[in-house]
This record gives sequence, structure tokens and C-alpha cells, in this order.
Amino acid sequence: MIQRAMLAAVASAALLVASLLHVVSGEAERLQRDAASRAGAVIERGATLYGLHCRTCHGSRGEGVGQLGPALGDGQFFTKRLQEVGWQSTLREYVVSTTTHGRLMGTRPIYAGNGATAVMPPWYEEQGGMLRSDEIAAIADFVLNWQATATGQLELKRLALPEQNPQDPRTIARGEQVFKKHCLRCHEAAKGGASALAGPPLANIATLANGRREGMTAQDYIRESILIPAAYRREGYAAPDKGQDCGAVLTESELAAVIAFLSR
Amino acid sequence: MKPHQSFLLHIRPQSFAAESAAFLNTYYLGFFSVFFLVLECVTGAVLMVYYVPTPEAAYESIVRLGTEVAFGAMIRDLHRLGGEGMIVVLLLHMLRVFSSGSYRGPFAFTWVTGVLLLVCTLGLAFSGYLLPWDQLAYWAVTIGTSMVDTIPGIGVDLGVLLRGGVEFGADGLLRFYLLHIAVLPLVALLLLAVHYYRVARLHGIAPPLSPRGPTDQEKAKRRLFPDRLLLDLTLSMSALAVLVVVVTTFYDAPLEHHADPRHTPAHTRAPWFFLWLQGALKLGDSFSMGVLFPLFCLLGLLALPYVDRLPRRPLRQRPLALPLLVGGVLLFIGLSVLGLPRYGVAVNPVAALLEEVAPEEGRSALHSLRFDTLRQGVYEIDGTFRAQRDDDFAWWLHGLGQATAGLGAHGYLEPRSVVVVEDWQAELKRITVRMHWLDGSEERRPASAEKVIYLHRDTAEPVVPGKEGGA
Ligand code: HEC
Ligand code: HEC
Repeated sequence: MIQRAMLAAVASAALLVASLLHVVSGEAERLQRDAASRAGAVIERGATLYGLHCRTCHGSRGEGVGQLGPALGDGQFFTKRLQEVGWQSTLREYVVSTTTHGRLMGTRPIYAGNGATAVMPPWYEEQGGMLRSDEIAAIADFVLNWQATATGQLELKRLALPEQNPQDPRTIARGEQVFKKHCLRCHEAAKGGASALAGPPLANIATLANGRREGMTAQDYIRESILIPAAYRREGYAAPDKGQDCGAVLTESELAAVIAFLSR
Repeated sequence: MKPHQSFLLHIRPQSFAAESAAFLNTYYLGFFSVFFLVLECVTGAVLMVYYVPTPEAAYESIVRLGTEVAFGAMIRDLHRLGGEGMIVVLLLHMLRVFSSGSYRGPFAFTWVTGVLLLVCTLGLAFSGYLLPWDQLAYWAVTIGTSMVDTIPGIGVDLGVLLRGGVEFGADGLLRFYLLHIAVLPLVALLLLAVHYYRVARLHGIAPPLSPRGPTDQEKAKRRLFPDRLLLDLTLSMSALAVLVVVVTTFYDAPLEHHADPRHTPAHTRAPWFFLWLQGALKLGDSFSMGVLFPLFCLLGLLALPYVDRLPRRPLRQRPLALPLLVGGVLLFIGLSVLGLPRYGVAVNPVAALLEEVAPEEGRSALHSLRFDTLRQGVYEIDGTFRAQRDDDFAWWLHGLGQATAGLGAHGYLEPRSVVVVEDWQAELKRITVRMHWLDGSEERRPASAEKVIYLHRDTAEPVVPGKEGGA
């Protein structure tokens, strides 16, 4: 009786030791795999956040957008920028720090931040922004992942996407939906100026915008107004608050669609 | 008697009645409850070394467990699965005691301490649920505690006391952490002391209710040393071995995105042991279903041995007990099923399909395809889409085509999907899934919806060396 019980105890002990040994033997590899997969997931997350918050000014592939923001995915940024500004630490620190604090003053004249151009806003929540530190770190990982393509180690073929035809009724219909969802609460087509939020009516913006700025098509005017509503002030309308901008949440194709809708 | 023996014998009785302690009488459920409790304490102590109870650091510290700490993932998985296992064992233990009627007479107060232990364990599971500070935890616990707010009069104040504010924040997390590592374990150990003292010293384990008198063999005693102790050791070590194998091969404790109070997730789902409550909430208002109903169940359980005072009899001779038992179990299961997110909440079929293709949390089906089969391109698919190539991705597209065609049954005319795969960065692809359809109105206006997902090679299914593929 006792002997059988002893035997069972020894057998179970052996079982336990065997299972633990099995874990020990695979643990180093597991750690490596999980760390890599975690790093990949962080870049994925950073890509999503970048698309939501940074793309409008820095371009969806980090190519920069006109006067709105500089390129973050080119060779200049990866090889020369740190010397240019005299930054002592790493590029990653530079991205994290710039994103965290924003810029009170632009370092280049075209981003002077004089009201007519965009400034780099602070993003960290403790600085009045809307991102947590782990989100900023994720975006930084994503930005730094441009290194291979920016420095020419890797060449990615661009997919030739079919142009969205602004005359296509599908595009216009899509733009109308985007407008209803994102813009209508401020830009009621008929009346305007009713609430503190309200922006100007946009029913005939296409004709109004045409030629309002010299050398600028109506489409470009609308595009820039959506991205920075304060760029061209209209008498009698409040400058929209931060976080209440016209279309920072739109994707590039939504933006194109809503512009097609407004200039139909 | 050696000192170590006398210490053990001080806690545990020197011998057991063989028939009471037999497997077919107890199924060792009480033993396994204690086994899990010890497992939780030991793994919990290890986790405390790494865990940081602040909203800024909690999530990162859990991530570190998986990516930097040797055996960290295993310890966390053991702790998580062990906690759930403990609840299962406790519930079975309770069913066993109920059906054998061994909650009556001298056992009455022991039953009461047992019920309180169950409540304590649920409290531990609930408070522990919050600690990883991910979306899953944050929203399940936010919804769970919001029921407290509905108590008339004191509810709101009580809620603030519990959460440390109107919303969960640093204070609430610290409170739940202290509940989890100090208050509730202390209460549980105290209750367990009373419970075990009564079982071991006062009334013993209730013997089986056999119609014939016990035979001599069954009346025999079994000594603690060495018989019972060897058995306990054998059971513990084999159970632990099984758990270790299970958590390292089949189970991963979930970890969603970092908690974000500004973003309500697509699904908030209670842990399975509270699904019944989520189901009950769909049947009535939060106060009556979320507070009164569980309170009523609890009081019913506590009062049971004092209401039912007849002598012990086998289950078939207790006309009320069987319906009560079956009814209770069915109610638990029924409410839990009702609590699943798919019941009672109307979902837009396009949104549901997009969420399935590119879920907000966890790995998408795309993550389990081989990374290199996702070739850059624009893939137009409708119900008649045929896979041209024979690889994972082509089959996935085929499946999406069928699911898209299925939208036709919901009044979406001419549904079709477009999938765009772009090489976005080194080892990173961007996948856009867009659905187009014509709405049901007179003009048949075109409409569409889309979702974007990014895929990194290292999160996609690792390519097994030797298998075809890889860069
Ligand atoms: C409203 C437009 C705008 C948005 C949105 C924006 N930025 Fe900027 N960003 C700028 C401008 C303008 C500059 C240039 C400032 C300067 O030259 O000093 C800049 C500069 C930077 C720089 C330094 C580049 C350099 O060459 O020195 C980094 C890094 C950066 N932004 C990251 C981000 C990230 C990350 C996000 C998203 C969380 C973001 N930005 C969102 C406008 C923007
Ligand atoms: C939070 C309120 C708000 C939302 C939402 C909003 N806008 Fe605006 N928008 C404004 C305000 C206020 C102005 C006027 C700014 C000024 O005069 O400087 C404006 C100006 C504009 C202008 C320039 C008008 C002109 O005559 O110069 C355009 C174009 C525009 N918005 C388009 C859009 C579009 C498209 C959307 C939806 C994607 C949108 N807005 C969403 C508040 C808003």
C-alpha cells in the first residue's frame, strides 16, 4: 500500500520535473520570439496612430505635406537632420521629444507658425496633447522603421492606385456620407453661424473658393482649409479650437471624396 | 514525533475516515480548492515582484513579463488559469456538497464560510482582472463597478469610493491592487482557517449516504502520515505538471491594447464567471438585475442550511433539491449564454464583417497567413471570386468573397469587396479592406465602408524553418 503510494509520488515528481525541463529548454527561444512579435505589434500600432494623428501634416508615407509639415521618411531626416539642429542624443529621442513637446517656434521659415502655417503641436497628454507616452513611443518606432527605405537599403515599389475620379458619382456619394458624418455638425449647408462651433456654410464653396487665393485651385483651397481651418480666416467665424479642426480624422481617400463632393 | 510532524498534525487531523475521504465521496474538490489557492499565492507573489500598480506603468510591466522575464509568461498564465480553475473547482465543490446534503446540521456554518469563500474568490478574480490595465480589463471592470452607482442614495458615493473617482484612474487601480494582494487574500485565509478547522476538527467530512451500513473496510482509518500526505503530494505534483504543459502549449493569458478611457471598444465582454450577470443585465435595469438579483442569490445560498433542516437523505429522496439543483445550473448556463455579446445587441452586418476581418483587438485572420503570400496589389472580389493562386492569401480572399456575397441577404445590393495590399515600410504591409454596395433606396445610392490594418512580419505566423516561404 505504502509502496504504491510512494511509487505514485515519485512518478508524479518525475512528471513535474520533466514538464519543467521542457519549459526551461524552450524558454530562451520563446522570449526572443515574443519580444520580436511584440516589437512588430508596436510598429503596427504606431502605424495606425500615425495615420490618425500625423499623416495630415507629414504625409501618409512620411513624404511631408507642403507647408503643413516636413518629411519624416526621407534620407535628409535620417542622415542630416540631427546635425542641422545640433541634437546630441539619438534620432529616436529626437522624434519622441519633438512629438511630446511640439514646437513653440518652427526651426524653418516655412513652418514659422505665424497663424498662416501649421505648427507642430505638443502631443503628450501632460503637455496638453492627446497621446500617452507608450503611444508616442509606438509612433517613434514606426517613424524609425522608415530608415531602410529612407537610406536606400531597401526599395519598395509603390502600388499604382487607381486615381479617385472626382466626377464619379460613387466618389461624390461617398464624399456626401463623409460630409454628413464629420462636417455637418459645424457646417450646416444652409444656415451658418448659429452656434459657437459653427463654421461657414459650404453650399457654394466651390465657386467662392475659386480664385480666392491667387494661383490656387478651389480643390487645393478646400483641402488646405480642411486641414488647417485657421489658414484662411473668414470674417465672423470663430477660429476652430484645437481638437476641433475640420478633418484631421479623415483618411486620404475620404478627404479626396469630400473635396469631390464639395466641388461637384 | 518529530517537530515537523507535530506542526503538520497540529493543522491536519492525524487520520481520516477512509470512506469519507474516498475519491468517490469528495472527488477531492476541497483539496483542489486549496491547491489552487496555494498556486495563486505562490505565482501571485512572483508577479508582485514585477508588477507596478500605476496606469502609466502597469501595462508595460505585464508586457515585460512576456518579453523580458524568464518564465514570466508561464507564471502569469498559471496565475490567470489557476484563478479560473479555482472558481470551477469551488463551484463543483458546492454542487457536490449540495447534492449530498452535507450542508445540514453541524455542517451549516461550514457551508456559510464556504459560500463566503466563493464570494471572496470572485472578488479576487474581479479585482485581478483590472490589474493588466488593458482595454479588456478596463471596460469590463468599469461596467462591473457601474452597477454599484445604481444603488439608490449611497450608490454614487460608494462607486467613487471603489474607483477612487468617477472614472477609473491611478487611485482606483491602487485600490483594486490593494484589495487583490492584501485585503481579500487575508479575508480568504481567515475564512479558510474557520472552514478547514470545522472540517478537520469539529465534524469531519460527511460520510457517503449509502443505504447499507458501512463495511469494516470502509470504516477503516487512513493515517495522515504517510498515506494521505503522499496522496496529496502526488495529486499536487501531477496537477501542477498538467497545468504547466497546458499553459505553455495551449493557453495565453489575454492582453489587449492599453486601457483607453476615451475609446470604448467594439465588444466589452465580462469574464466567463460573470457572464451570467451580463446576461441578467439584458433582462432588466441595472439596479434590480445588477445588484438585487446577485444579492438575492447570495442570501439564498447563505440561508439554505437554516431553511432546510431535515436530516440528510440521498438526492432522490429530496423532491425539491433536484429541481433546485438542475434549475440553478441551467439558469447559470442560460444567463451566461445570454450574456455573450452576440445576443440582444443589434449589429450592422457590414461593421460586423469588417470587425471580423480586421478586429480591433487580438490577431486578425490575416496575421496567421504567411507574410510573403500577401503580395502587393488591388484585389477586387465579389461572390464569384475564384482563387487564382493556391496559397493562404488566395483562400482568405476567397472566403472574404463568400462573406461579402452573404451581405446580399441583409438588403445590401451588389455587394463587393476590394482588398488593397501595399508594401508600406520594411517588413510592414498595409491592408485596406473596403466594401461597396448599393443601398436599398429608390436611387440605389452607392455606399462603402473600409478598415485599414497594418501587418508586421514578426507578428505574422512565424515561418517554420524548412517550410517553403520566408524572405
Ligand atoms: C498640424 C500639423 C502637424 C501635425 C498634425 C503633426 N506635425 Fe510634426 N511637425 C509639424 C511641423 C510644421 C513641423 C516642423 C517644425 C519645425 O520645423 O520646427 C513638425 C516637425 C516634426 C518633427 C521634427 C521633424 C524635423 O525635421 O525636425 C517630428 C519628429 C514630428 N513633427 C513628428 C510628428 C508626429 C509623430 C506627429 C503625430 C503624432 C506629428 N508630428 C503631427 C506639423 C505637424
Ligand atoms: C468643429 C467644427 C467644425 C467641423 C467638424 C468642421 N469644420 Fe470646417 N470650419 C470650421 C470653422 C469654424 C471654419 C472657419 C475658419 C475660419 O474662418 O478661419 C471652417 C472652415 C472651413 C472651410 C473654409 C471655408 C471658407 O470659406 O474659407 C472649409 C472648406 C471647411 N471648413 C470644410 C470642412 C469639411 C469638409 C469638414 C468635414 C470633413 C469640416 N469643415 C468640419 C469648423 C468646423
